[in-house]
Amino acid sequence: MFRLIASRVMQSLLVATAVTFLAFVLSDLVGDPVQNMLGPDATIQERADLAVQLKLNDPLPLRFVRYIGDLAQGNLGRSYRTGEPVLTMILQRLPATIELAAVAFLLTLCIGIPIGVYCGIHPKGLMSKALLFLTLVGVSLPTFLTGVLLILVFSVFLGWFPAFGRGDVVALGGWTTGLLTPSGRHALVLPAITLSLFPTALVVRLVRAEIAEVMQSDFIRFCKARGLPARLVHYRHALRSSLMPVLTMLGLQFGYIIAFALITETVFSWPGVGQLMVQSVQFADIPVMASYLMLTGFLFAGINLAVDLSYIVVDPRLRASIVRVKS
Amino acid sequence: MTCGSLHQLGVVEKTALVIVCVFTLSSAFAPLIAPYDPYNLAAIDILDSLKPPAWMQGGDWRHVLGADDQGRDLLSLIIYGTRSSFLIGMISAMVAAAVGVVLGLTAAWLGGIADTIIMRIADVKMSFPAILIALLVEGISRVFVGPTHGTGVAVAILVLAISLSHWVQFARTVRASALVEIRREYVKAASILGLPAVTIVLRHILPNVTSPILVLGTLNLALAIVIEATLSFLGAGLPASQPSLGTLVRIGEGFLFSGEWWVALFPAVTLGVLIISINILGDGLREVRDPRSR
Repeated sequence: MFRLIASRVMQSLLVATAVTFLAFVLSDLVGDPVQNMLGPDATIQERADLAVQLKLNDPLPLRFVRYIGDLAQGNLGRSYRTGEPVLTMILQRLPATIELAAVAFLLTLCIGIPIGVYCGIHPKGLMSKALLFLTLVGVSLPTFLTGVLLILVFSVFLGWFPAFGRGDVVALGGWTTGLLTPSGRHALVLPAITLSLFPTALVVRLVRAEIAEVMQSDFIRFCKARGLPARLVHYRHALRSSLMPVLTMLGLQFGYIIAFALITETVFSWPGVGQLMVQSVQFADIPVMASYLMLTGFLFAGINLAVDLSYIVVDPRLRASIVRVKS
Repeated sequence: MTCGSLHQLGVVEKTALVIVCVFTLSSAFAPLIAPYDPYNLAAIDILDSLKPPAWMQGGDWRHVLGADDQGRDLLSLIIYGTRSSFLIGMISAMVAAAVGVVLGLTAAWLGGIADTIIMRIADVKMSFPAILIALLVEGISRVFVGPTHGTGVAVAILVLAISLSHWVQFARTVRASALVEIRREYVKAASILGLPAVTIVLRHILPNVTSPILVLGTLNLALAIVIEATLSFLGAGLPASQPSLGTLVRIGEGFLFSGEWWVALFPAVTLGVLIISINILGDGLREVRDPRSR
């Protein structure tokens, strides 16, 4: 088991290194820092001097090592667009994104799983069929479209919720939160729903399929024969044994929520990291793009690792079989 | 996809099929169907700017669905926009399929290190959402091309971005089926006959692994259209002079609060109906082909 965990960790480290290298290649080979810093009027000698001064003529591996050294000190470079340090820009906007993603993820869990169980238990019911069709719509609709349609209905026509910004935020140490003010909570509603629609629909479909399969199995029939109440059969026994694939998908979904947050943030002018990324793509702002790529890469590698490791914790059979094979 | 399998589709799936066909035809014959040519600057009257749909006050039957901020007829824009979305989606899905098939076959045939490298890259790619990869490719290409470029370049970048983010599923599927086929006798016979590897792979193995590609392609078309629309909506896709559906929603979003909701709503609904129909159709086809997934 130790070897299995070690090899998974190694694999994640490999991915993280690959992503870092990609970010390095991006910021190193694309664009010309000398050109950016001196402008078009500089002489050839000035250019050559600056290149030597910035150690741009060193061999590639050496520059990569120095790049990693910079990263370790939290130096992600400066944005071409604003001139600010990239790390500051990202840290400033991170709370907004995490808050949005966390609320959307919670919504996904609290809505997706019960509906999925319901549809799995009543596969022939009219209600389940209607819900299932809705999930197909949810899976199909692009995130930005959901956002625009929600804004149209709930902000423009009904005027219930604001369509942009975060409302008032409260600073707690280095963290800003909108959850503590009425206008902040109000502003969170539409973006969170928009962001959670796609993963919720996916969770419903997966949970339904899993439950429907488990409900056919012998041990559920036995549970019913023992006269257990339906609620216990469905949630304690059926849901529990179908949670494995759901767990994997939820882990991946959290990563996807972070990624899709960039669309939601753009639609709702939500001041988060995703919006920053979209702006930097439009302005070809390489340092910001490279940093965002690296951060999300680490995040995804971490999530995948956590999901794989949690498999071993959750499923005792997996542990046992590995031990047997290895010994 | 035989006619027999079409008969097995349910009512909902058949409706979806009809809708997809209507969209395909209207895209193919856009210049004949659309009331105006939205790319022709001479035909635009700025006085028609933001004209409401015909049934509303101030509306006009010359512009049934109203007009956008430049006075372009919204119906024509939507028809032409659907055409761009369809075209880019199809080309990207095809390029993705081609790249995936080639890499999948290579991995299966060569095995060993080549297989490991290709499938590892696929694994890493799989753990990133397609939209992120597409956005990155888009951003990097912009650095090389520069901010000002023609529609042709924009289309090429879009196709590159979308297909680079979608080839993995094709590669995995093809590799899995090819690995099964390679062990079959006919492949052995072909290699004993001394046929070159390329001939064996392309003439003998490829035809036997194509059937899942079709279903995958249908579902991928919807995905490709979604990615294209999203990129265009984010301002990284087609320019406003030759808008796709995503660009139109982007333009319309700016007028949501000034009361001109139709500029965003009609393209948005069109896009939604198109994608949902393609997905329903793809699901239906998969169920017909593979009854186990029912």
